Amino acid sequence: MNYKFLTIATVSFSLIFFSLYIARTRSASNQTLELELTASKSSYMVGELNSFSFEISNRSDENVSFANALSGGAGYLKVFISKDDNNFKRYAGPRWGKDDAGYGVLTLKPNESVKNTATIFWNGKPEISNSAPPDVIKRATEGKILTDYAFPEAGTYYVKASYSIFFTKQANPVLIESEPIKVIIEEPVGEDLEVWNKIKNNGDFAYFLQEGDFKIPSYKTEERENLKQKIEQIISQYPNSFYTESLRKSFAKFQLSLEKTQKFLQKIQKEKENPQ
Amino acid sequence: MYDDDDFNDNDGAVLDGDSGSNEDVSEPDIGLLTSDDVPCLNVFDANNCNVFVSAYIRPVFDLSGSHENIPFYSNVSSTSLASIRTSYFQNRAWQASTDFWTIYLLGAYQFEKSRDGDPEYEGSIFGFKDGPGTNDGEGATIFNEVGRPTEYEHLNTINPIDWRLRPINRRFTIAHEVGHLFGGEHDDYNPGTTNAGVMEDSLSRTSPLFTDTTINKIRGGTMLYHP
Repeated sequence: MNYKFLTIATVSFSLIFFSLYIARTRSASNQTLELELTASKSSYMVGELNSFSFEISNRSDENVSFANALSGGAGYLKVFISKDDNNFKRYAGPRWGKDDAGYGVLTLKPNESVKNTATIFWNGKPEISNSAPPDVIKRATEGKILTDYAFPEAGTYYVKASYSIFFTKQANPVLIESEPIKVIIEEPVGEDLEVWNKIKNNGDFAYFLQEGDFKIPSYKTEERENLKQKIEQIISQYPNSFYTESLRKSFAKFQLSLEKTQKFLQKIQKEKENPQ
Repeated sequence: MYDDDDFNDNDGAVLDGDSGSNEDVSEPDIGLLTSDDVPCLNVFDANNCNVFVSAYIRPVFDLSGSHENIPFYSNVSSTSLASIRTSYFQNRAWQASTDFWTIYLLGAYQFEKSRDGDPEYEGSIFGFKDGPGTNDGEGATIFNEVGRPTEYEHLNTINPIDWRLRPINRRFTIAHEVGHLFGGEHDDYNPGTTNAGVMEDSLSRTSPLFTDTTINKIRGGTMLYHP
């Protein structure tokens, strides 16, 4: 009888201690680092380039070391957008989640933080053939934003971020998530609305505005030329539009990149003609 | 290819190009893309096998023609990479057919300064798929030299304790980037699982194999333009 009680008591105490240990462990790993998302403004015009900050802070009283991979390309930082603060869909920026890279270790002292910024604008929606099997289409599109613009129309949006932290001396990452923030997207009027109506259904414009480059591959020369002409047309037809300044900046960046590429090609040609 | 990465003559051990008797970049490691039908085993030192067998793809390497030696370009921007490729590797789509995919493994360059893994180390890119989206890429670029501490090459087992000690294998990167070309993503999990195999991101990758999810994308070819 005493042995039985002792056994039960031991198991009970073990369970209590185990539960306390689990609670403490979970609490520690959740509270060590905090992710905060902020927008540069509380409201943007639809189709306006934005800027969001992602800040990781060490809320513990010890130094914390983890993989320094706070960028969209790395794939550990993810952004989710919702129109109802509930049904969040994942955003995919240019090259987000496409880098295969090595990362150094970042150490944050207590109350220290690290920050990165990103533009949440063009969205790489899954481009899958309609003839693909339904389960393949479902798997490719599920949980993802399916529009070319992250904020495709005026309205209220909720944005949150998550980050998979690879602590040193740990095999698996710990996921932390920011609180959602509210972002208001406003409707343009007049001439601005005319321009927005020309660019809102074409993801190539969104990509060009954000990157100053063409999303269309370089071997599709005719399509690229068509897009170039459309951009030039908008710039000349609506010189004072809200969107034109951004288009001009992107166009200047694009031209500069073309010039650099031309110089590089000339260098290659010279080296071919006069090999060392 | 020639490597001129030893800018400060330190002959540092971190850089692969410094470790040999000359400054050549080593050949791409195609240990998971051999041109036979031997499937790869789900072990970290999988080698001399074809990771694409289950998608009925047999890699064929046929680019030894007129450009065996390409000058090594350092600190190349992502836009210039496409220029190099089109300039030197003009037999792209040479085997274009509606019946099968042809993968051309084109070479290696050193990426822009902030991510080239050189002594002024800031970061390193092993490889990436060109183009921003899922199916608009012209190719993928493998940086054959950078960011791979050589000591990792000799580890053949998965270290469960610390992600930093996991081997980041060249051959995995090539298979990974080719997977991206077919629309493969870092979360290509099979239903009910949370591991995307070789498509998993570099810090959490523990398998050299494609999941059925990626294999189905490759088989279907539903997420890729035909050039």
